[in-house]
Amino acid sequence: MFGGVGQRFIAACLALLALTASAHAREFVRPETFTLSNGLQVVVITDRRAPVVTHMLWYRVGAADEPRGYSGIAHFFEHLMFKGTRQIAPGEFSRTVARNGGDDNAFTNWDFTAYYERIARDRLELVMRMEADRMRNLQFSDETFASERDVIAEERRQRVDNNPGAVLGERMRAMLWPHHPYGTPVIGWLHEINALDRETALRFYRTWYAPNNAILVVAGDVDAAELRPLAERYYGRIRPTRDLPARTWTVDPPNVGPMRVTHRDEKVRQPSFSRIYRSISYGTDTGRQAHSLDVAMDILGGSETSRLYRALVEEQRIAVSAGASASSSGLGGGSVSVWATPAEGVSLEQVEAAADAVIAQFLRDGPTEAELTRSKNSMTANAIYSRDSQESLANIYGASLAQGESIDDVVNWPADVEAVTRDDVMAISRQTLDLNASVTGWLLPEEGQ
Amino acid sequence: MRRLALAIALAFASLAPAPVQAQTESAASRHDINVQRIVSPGGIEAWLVSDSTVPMIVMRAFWRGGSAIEQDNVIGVTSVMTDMLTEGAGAMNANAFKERLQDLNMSLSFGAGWDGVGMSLTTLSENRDAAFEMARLALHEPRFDAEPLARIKRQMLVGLRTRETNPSYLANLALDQALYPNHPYARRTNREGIEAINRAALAERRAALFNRTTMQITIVGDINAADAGRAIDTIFGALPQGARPPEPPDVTLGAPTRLIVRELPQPQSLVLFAGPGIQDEDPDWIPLAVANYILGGGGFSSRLMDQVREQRGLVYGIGTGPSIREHVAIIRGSAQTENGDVREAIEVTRAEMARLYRDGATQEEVNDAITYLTGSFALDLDSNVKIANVVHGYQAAGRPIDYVNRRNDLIRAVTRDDVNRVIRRLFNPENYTFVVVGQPEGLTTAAAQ
Repeated sequence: MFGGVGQRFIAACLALLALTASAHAREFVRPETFTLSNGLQVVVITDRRAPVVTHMLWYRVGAADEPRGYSGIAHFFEHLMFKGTRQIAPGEFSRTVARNGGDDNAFTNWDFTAYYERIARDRLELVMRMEADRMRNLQFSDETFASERDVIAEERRQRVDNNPGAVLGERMRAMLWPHHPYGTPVIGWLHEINALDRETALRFYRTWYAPNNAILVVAGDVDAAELRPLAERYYGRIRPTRDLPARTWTVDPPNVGPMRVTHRDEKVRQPSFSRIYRSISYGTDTGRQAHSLDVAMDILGGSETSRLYRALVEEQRIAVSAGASASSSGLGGGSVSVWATPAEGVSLEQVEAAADAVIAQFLRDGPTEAELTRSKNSMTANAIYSRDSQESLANIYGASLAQGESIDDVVNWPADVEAVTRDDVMAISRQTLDLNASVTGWLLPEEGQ
Repeated sequence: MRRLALAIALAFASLAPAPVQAQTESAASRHDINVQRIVSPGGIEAWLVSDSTVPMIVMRAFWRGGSAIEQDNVIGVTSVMTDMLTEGAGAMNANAFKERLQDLNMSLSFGAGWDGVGMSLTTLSENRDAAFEMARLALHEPRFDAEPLARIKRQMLVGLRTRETNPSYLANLALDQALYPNHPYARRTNREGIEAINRAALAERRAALFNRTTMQITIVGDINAADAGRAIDTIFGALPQGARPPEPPDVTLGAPTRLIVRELPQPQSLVLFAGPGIQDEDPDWIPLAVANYILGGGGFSSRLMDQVREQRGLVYGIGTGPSIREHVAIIRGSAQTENGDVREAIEVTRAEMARLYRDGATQEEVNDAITYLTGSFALDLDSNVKIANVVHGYQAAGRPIDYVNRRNDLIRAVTRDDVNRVIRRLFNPENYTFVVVGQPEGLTTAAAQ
């Protein structure tokens, strides 16, 4: 009798412990996953709080896979995917999603192209049918093609050409990656966008859009048992492409030393300094290098308590902003950037020299234990916060898988970040923050302004 | 991205429901949120959505009185004051305070709008008590130290320069000055005002605005009513009862100006347009949501998106929406297009508005708008953060506590007659002022009509 109570008490304690551990563990939710016989990988992230789903189809093709001279075709094609099939009239795709209370959109990166719909769970089948249909059956007229080319030119003006800082950033990337496709802007160069033709777009589509080159991610009010028959019905019938090309990209020649570029524009009222360095990425690193790089850049410039912000903005008072960040998610390599905007009356030489001094000191002395703990702790907390958003989780898993990571890599990410040591941070920082693998950009007003 | 999100917030007013018409409704269109009214032991009321699925808590608070009631000689003081609340409090200076926020993996920010000030807190459950203590410190014991104040002023002074060529700043200023030139809503920060902001001015604004009379609090996430009540007393319990701050005068809109051009050297122009709107207490507010969806409410199916982008390729995006401040209501639209196409884009926009104004919306358009607006609402309620935003928005707008669950019924009740009445009332293009920032070919500022 007494023992019985004791056992129950212990069981209750264990249950409580387990609950606490699972509630507070800094892990990403582990999704269910399966692969269809045609090679389509399916990932399901269940969140029952609202009766909605996020349905995403990620293709392992992006701007880095474009034939040379046809920049922007991957992104252009993303737009064309909304132009209809034999069954869906032009414009009808988005209209049908909207008529069913859903939102849809798409985005393109160097490594991937992703399409998504967010909609009520009882409309999931509808969007699966339409998404599967346009994997193979797209059709559009020459007129549609020409009109969409104008839309994309406007998109480019809006994102890049109207913004002197974006224009400079585009040129800096082109210098950092002089031959690798990451040096070409995803949206494309305007003269090449204007020359794109329908046949090239269709060839790109037929080459790359295939179930065995895609990942289906569905998050929200659904589980794998419910999704599997739908995935089989709509995507499972599509034949795989047998001769998918390998994603081999041109490689850059060795660095020849620090590069610099100055861009002047009459719209610039406040000069600014920025620098990008070549780096490893989650797609190219070994061990925990990319995790270490993320931690390093967070300490160097990721917040208002970082080295750069404190030194330039708070202590020396020569800048109004300063920071650093890592772009480490790429399949074929990454970059880190460092930037500062001077305060009134301070020159770019002065802020650049001050930023260099902060970097030199960081490379010499490394992070303090407190900085290391704080950064790792902030980064891993995001694994808990990510559970609040089915959209975020779908994006994290889709992008990671499309960029060469595995589900385990994502689930273990917080533990791997936790394992990063001071030596790891110093080693990757010394390897990366090398002026010989960098491009420094100055954004300036027109001369005489 | 295929399109930019058109961030136009809609908060819907209550009105008597009419008979519901038959629609193809999705499962998501009847997704209820359980909002409880709680009263803390100290007598403070708040709205609570308790859900322990994700171990995190989101809190939002709002107080009446913002930058529209600042004195003319210290314009900008309210937002400096709210920024300074997290620049050191109690025994912690700015840096120590920010490090503590990071160590707790929490975010805490205060901000100022035209008509109010707000607090936003997000914390993991495991750190909640320490997080609430940080909010209490920021609200009650801010240090307003000289160093962070000087830094923020330096940053604002640089902002005065960069805004000179910021198309969005220039267009909004031109619009505000055209529509209500002598109202505080048309004021902007200036060098004299920034320099005049001092510790005493911050203390004065803090004392004037943070009180219990106008305070509204929403809490969402992993916390029960009893603990939420204690948290509220910890953070807000020591605030004085205080009084409602004064209000700026109501705006009387002047006559429209057909076209205002502001020269800015860039390849693409920004076009803003606005006409008289209605406040969210107006019985036509809900029909306006339906009418606006048809005209330019963000979807690909809107008339403006179809005519200006899809049919003619003139823009990447175009959208419209109601925009309200406490004392003025307008309907506002925006688009961006190449300098050579501005004239055509404006002509097509005006013509499309005129056609809708003349002929009204079709029953099919009304049905589609209702299905979208009711079905997609659950997409705005699928995470703690989104629920907090929507529910707190309704609370601050003075809606009843169950409004989030009644809102879809109100939209279902809208008839074609309602929509066409609103169109006649608000979408006459002759009442709209157009502002262009860029180098539009062949266009100059017109005289007021």
